[in-house]
Order: sequence, then C-alpha cells, then structure tokens
Amino acid sequence: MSDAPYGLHPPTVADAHDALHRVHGADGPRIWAALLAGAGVTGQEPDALDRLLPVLDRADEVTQLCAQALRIRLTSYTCLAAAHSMTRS
Amino acid sequence: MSTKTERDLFDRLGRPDRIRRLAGYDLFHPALRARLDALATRAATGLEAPVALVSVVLDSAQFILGGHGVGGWVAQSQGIPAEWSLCARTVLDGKPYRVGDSRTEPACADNPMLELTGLASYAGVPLIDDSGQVLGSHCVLDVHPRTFTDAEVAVLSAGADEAIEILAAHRR
Repeated sequence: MSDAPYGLHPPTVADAHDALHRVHGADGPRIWAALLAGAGVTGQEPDALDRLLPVLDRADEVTQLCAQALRIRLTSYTCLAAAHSMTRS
Repeated sequence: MSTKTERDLFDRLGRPDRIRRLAGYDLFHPALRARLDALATRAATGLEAPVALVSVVLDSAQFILGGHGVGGWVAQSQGIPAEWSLCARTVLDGKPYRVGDSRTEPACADNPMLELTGLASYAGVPLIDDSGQVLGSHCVLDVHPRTFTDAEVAVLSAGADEAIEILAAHRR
C-alpha cells in the first residue's frame, strides 16, 4: 500500500508557492517573497511550511484563504494517514 | 506535491477575481457559521438527507461553512481536498449538479471521499453572489442511491439564496 492515503499527499512549500502565485496573479512573486521574509525562511528548510502557515494566517484576506485551503488538505492528510496506519498495523 | 491534473483544477478554481471576491466575506465569523449550520440542518430535515452542507470552494479545498451530519475527518478538516469535491464541479459548472448513484456515475469513479464516507448520491446548487461570482454550493448527500427531483433542487436553490443573504451580512 502507498504511504499516501487514497493518493493524498501532505501539502508542501511548493504547493503553498503555487497557491499564492495562483490567487495573487501578477502580485504573487512580491507577496511570496514578503511572506518568506516574514517567516524567516528561504523555503528550503524542512519545517518551512510549518513556519509559513502562521504568517499566512496573519496576512491579507486572500492569503488567509490560501492558508485555510492548505490546512484543510493538511488535516485531511493527517487524519487519513493515521487511520491508514492503524489499518496496516 | 500536486499532480498536473490537480493543478489544472486548482487554477480553474483559484482565479484571482473569484478568490478576491471570497476574501471580501468574513468566512470565519462564528455568527455566520451558526446561521449556515442552521440552514444546513433545515435542508437535511426538509429533504430527508443525512448530510447537508453550505460550502465555499477555495483553490485547492472545499471549505465547509455550515453543515449537518458531518463527522470524522471531514469535520476535523472543516472540508475536503478540491479534487474529491462534488461541489467543485457545481461551482465550475455554475448550475445544479446531481448524482443519483455514485457507483454508476463515471465522474465519481474512484472518488475517495465517497468511498470513505459511504455517501452515494448528491444534489448541489451554486452560491452565486451579486457580482456574478460562483462562491460555493449548497448541497445534500445521501447514503443511498437517490433520484433528486426538480422540486428538491428548487428547495436547495431557495436555501442557496438565503445563504447568499447571510453571507452578504458578513461582507467586510
């Protein structure tokens, strides 16, 4: 069995990058750079998404909705992965 | 990391003008959520369905604002991934969408949300605000195959109008 329950993967920094650029259009690169700076990350750190999400929560309303979508995906993954793990053990 | 098919879906849902419109509402306000929960409960009762939702569809996830009969991982997550969302189709089509039996509906083949929840049928109508943007959907789901009638869809449409009025009271 795959480690991705039902094909669902946890969101990554790359997913956050894509989401921010998607919803902000031409302003995406500027806003993304400011969010990275606000979180004090380059995006390469293993815990970069964990550090970015609280910064997204405090940003403009469009960015907050990106954070909410990422959290829904992350919580779905966490719940289903836990159940998946129990059924395999 | 998302697949190309998922990214294409997220791009269609995440158009900047639609997301900006959604961001103009205070979607996290407790009073909004309570009123939409009540609306969902009324729909579930009126249409004799175990599950009813009022949701907005973000770029990569369906965000449940009001719900009845929602439990487990969906309740904890407050939504589901967009690629598993029947409401995402309602939003993209901008018109009512019905699934009588997900087991025989090609568009529902291999949808993990249906497999995980045991839900088999769906009727949803779009939430369209005064800007013309499709924000989300109002829907009911049943565990049994079911043919939703035009009259039942009309009940949902009336509920969607009411949901839009409730949302309008929470514009920033």
